[in-house]
Amino acid sequence: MKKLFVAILIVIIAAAAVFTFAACNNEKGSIKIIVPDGAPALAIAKMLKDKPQFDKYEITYEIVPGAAEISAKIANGEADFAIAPTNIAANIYNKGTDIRIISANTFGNLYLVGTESVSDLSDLKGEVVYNIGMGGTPDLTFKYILNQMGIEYFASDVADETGAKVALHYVSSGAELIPLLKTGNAKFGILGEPAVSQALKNVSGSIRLFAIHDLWADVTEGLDYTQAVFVGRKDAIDKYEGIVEWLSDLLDENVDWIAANPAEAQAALADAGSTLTVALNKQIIRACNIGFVPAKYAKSDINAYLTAMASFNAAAIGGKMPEDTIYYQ
Amino acid sequence: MNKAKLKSIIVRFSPLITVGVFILIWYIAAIAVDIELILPRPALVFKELLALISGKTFWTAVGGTLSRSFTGFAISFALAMILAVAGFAIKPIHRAFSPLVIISRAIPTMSVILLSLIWLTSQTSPILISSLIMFPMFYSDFYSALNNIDKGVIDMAKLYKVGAKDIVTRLYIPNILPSVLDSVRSGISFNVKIVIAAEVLAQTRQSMGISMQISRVMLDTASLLAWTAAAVAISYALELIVELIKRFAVKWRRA
Repeated sequence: MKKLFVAILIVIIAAAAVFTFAACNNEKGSIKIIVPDGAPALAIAKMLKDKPQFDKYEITYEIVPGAAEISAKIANGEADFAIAPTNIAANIYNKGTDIRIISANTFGNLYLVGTESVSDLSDLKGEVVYNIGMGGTPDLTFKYILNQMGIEYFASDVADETGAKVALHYVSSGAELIPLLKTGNAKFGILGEPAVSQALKNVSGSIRLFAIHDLWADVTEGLDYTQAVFVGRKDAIDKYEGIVEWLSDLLDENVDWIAANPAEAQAALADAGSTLTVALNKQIIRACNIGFVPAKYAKSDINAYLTAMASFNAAAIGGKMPEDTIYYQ
Repeated sequence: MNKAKLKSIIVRFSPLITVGVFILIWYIAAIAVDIELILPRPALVFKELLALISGKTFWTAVGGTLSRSFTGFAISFALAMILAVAGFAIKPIHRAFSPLVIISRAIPTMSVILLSLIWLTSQTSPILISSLIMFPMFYSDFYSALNNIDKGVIDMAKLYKVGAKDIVTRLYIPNILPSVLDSVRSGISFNVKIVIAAEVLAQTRQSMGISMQISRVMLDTASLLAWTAAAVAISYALELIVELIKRFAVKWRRA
């Protein structure tokens, strides 16, 4: 009987611990804005540097390692606003966290790099194209473009001998692809800036063949490739009146600032703990394609983007198309 | 029902009770957190698991991961056995190989993974990683198992002119078998873990690792946990098989 009592006690203690742990996430005294490391962090570079404060509220700006942290922190309320990959924003919304997409902020930093020149995507039939992250958005985007162009593909690390299909092969990040291009094991690969610039610098004879956002525009009749968006939790938007307009102005201002001040932008990121090591210049910043388009104008582009991602696997956007309420009006 | 009987029933089902308590804590935690993306409820994960099992991609992924695990396992096992026997029979060989064993034991798993991604393909690097990590563990286990055999018994066998074949089949093999099977048992599920980790980083097609990674990228935590449960079940099944072989082998040894 004693043992049973001890066992029940342990369960109660564990449950209590979990409750307190869950509860402390909800308390916060200030506003927090987070951004994933890498090129998307450029979207708030000036804010990372100036740390502007809204009214009487204290705002903290933070770089986090990636999309997984963004989604977790927005979902549990630790952060209020964030730059998030567009499909992740839809995902968070569909999984029950009430958020709003405030603006579209990055318009494509993916490029197809090759050590051999091709003039048309169909020239890649019979070749192996490396991509970063199987099942991720670069993969789904490229497959979507190939589908729209009527080019067949299959997953393989060896090329199709008959030359009828494009072989798609995957690495987990740009850092692994660059050595493969250098040794000649890979001839074509899709990379995100600033890894593209790093590859072009390190791999002799490599060229930037296509911008994925240009190919996207080709197959979607000129739509923007809305890769990442700025989102806010509905409760924070309601609580801090006027903050969306205030933040929108800052995001808009940042676009011109990073274009004019690459070195300062880099320093701002480094100070905030970014692991970005490539020396940024005006050209790389331009290739990162940071912009600012309010949600109401970017809505149709974002919807097309989400529809395309969901056409492969609805799980990529959290199961279904989000309702129109996701767009901040 | 008397007290002793009740006690024996509790002892017998205690692992199941632990699993039940674990799921209960999970359930309470999931309700407390109440965010599916961070911690989905057990029921959702089981539903996801059932959906996975009924799909074809699940079995190709499991098959791929298991075949890579077995290949890596077989390579490290064979290599460790050959070298342990050679090192046991001829001591200078053991000394000569000791740096290799020390290096392979000390080398950080992550650097083996990262290096092999540069050197090998996504299909082969999990195999290399698993064999490199399993090899030193097997080698030291096998070598000490051989050394633990009572020298006196072997000397006596030699004194009585027992044939070399009989010494091997009736003395060495039966004596090292239990500890070899013990290390196989603990190694086999550890190996599956390593292969899955390697598959995530190598982006191996048709693997449990890449399936977990895709679930993660899509923020599908329920599916990630379902894959995890599947991996646990598979490891457990493998250990159980080894355990059965061990019981069978012990019987054979006694016969």
